[in-house]
Amino acid sequence: MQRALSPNVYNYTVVRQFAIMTVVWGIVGMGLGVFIASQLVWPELNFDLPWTSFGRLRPLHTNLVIFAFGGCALFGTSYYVVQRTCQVRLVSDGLAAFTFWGWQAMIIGAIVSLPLGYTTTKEYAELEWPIAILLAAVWVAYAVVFFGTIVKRNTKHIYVGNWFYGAFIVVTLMLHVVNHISLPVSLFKSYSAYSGATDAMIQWWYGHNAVGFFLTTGFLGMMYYFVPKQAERPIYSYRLSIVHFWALITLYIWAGPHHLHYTALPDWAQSLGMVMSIILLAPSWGGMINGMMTLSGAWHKLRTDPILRFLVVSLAFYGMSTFEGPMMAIKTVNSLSHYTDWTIGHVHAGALGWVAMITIGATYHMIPRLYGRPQMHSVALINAHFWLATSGTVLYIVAMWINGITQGLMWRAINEDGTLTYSFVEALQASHPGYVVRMIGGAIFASGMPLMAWNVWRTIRAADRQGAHAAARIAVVGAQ
Amino acid sequence: MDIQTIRGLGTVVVMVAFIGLALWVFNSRRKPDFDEATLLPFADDPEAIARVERQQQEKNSRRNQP
Repeated sequence: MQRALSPNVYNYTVVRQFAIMTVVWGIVGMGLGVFIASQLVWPELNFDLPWTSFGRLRPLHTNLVIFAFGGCALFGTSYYVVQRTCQVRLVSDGLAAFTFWGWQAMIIGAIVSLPLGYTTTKEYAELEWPIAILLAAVWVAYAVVFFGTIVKRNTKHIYVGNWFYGAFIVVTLMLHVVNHISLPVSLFKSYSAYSGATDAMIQWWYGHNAVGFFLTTGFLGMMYYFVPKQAERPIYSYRLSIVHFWALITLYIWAGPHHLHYTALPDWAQSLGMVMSIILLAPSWGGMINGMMTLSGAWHKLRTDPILRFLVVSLAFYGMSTFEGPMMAIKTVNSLSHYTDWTIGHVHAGALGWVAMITIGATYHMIPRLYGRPQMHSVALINAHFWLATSGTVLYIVAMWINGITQGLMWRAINEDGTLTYSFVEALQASHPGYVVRMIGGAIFASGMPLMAWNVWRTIRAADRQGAHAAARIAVVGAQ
Repeated sequence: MDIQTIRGLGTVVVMVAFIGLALWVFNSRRKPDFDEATLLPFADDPEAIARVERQQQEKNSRRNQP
């Protein structure tokens, strides 16, 4: 029966699957983050085993939170948003299912291969070539499903959120393929096609745009749908959103060299990266202001709606970290901040404050609608989750700021005769209190996720098949 | 052509594209299209679109009063 009705209903099956796995991978990935943060407090926690050492688990943590948690959130919300704003079912159920199962297989591949020590050694691109090929195949299918759905849309316009999702899909494919070009020498070992400074530049062109397109542009697509929808107000300025889009995607791609300040990369490339990073502040803040001002005249909604609070506070953290980023890209600032914990603090201001909080807000918005429920099982629990997430993020980034500046100053301090004032170990000892606070902050943030899982589970359990099916029906009213 | 000239031209092309984009976006002829597109998140939700349209009417009528 479902099949007969399928042209008139959205494909919520795949959205539900991705939404649930977002929560599951969130718990696993953030839990692992707390574990490796504890290893930095108590190094004995590596158990003297290679598989549980920090060096192998840290890439697993980043892969799980970026690609498993963030990736599932992006797949799920993009399928939800593209169907609802195009008022049409996904172009292919089979391909959509392939993207779900293929993506989960890729994540399992990461969970198995990274602790075993199989790695390309490229940050955020550690997965060895067989898994990288699977990722590319899933991504091509994703592009076909997403753009195919846009092609057969029943609306005149392509909503701006879909532009952001579309750019994220296209650019991520380009980055992944170019950075992963390599020569396999065995089933689990390959060598990059590039060498020396070129390899480093390609890697950070990839790495920074993984931030720019995966963790920013994709989540901005989410922002452009879920902030207006949850606030029930159209986006502040549709014009600004178009300028925001083109400015952001034109500039982001150039900012990568700031990861390689004071290295063998040619000076002109470093300076170019710095200048482009600073200019990037303009579109970043344009987007943030566009999202925030959507609430203008309706700020009172923040008092009663914790989901909206998640979405708006995520924008505040986005604004903060996109100010911090350009500042850290300035070479003189970078000479202090680079290789210190400040960088880790900056990343988590974005990853916890922006990416995770907007994902959590969007998921709380989506779950009841996917299952035909009026709202989440417990709004009070969403509120508790909000405060855990916010206070955890603040503790985390403050600890890392203090550690980062301490380390930067201690490493560069020299005596009158030119010798170093402090040994590396002295700076490490000075960092210990910060590591404790970071672990506590991370644990507070992560502890919100089981609350979310329980809330989601109770919401889904209260749903019935008929209600869920009715929720997926395509109701077209009002505007085309 | 010298590589530096090509790089300079690249900068000019991007600048012209940005100015062109700004002119296109802020042209008042686009307004009806954008007003339509901006409602798309609500368009498939009968209750939401009703509330949003009511809000907008109120806002417009307030603006038209002296």
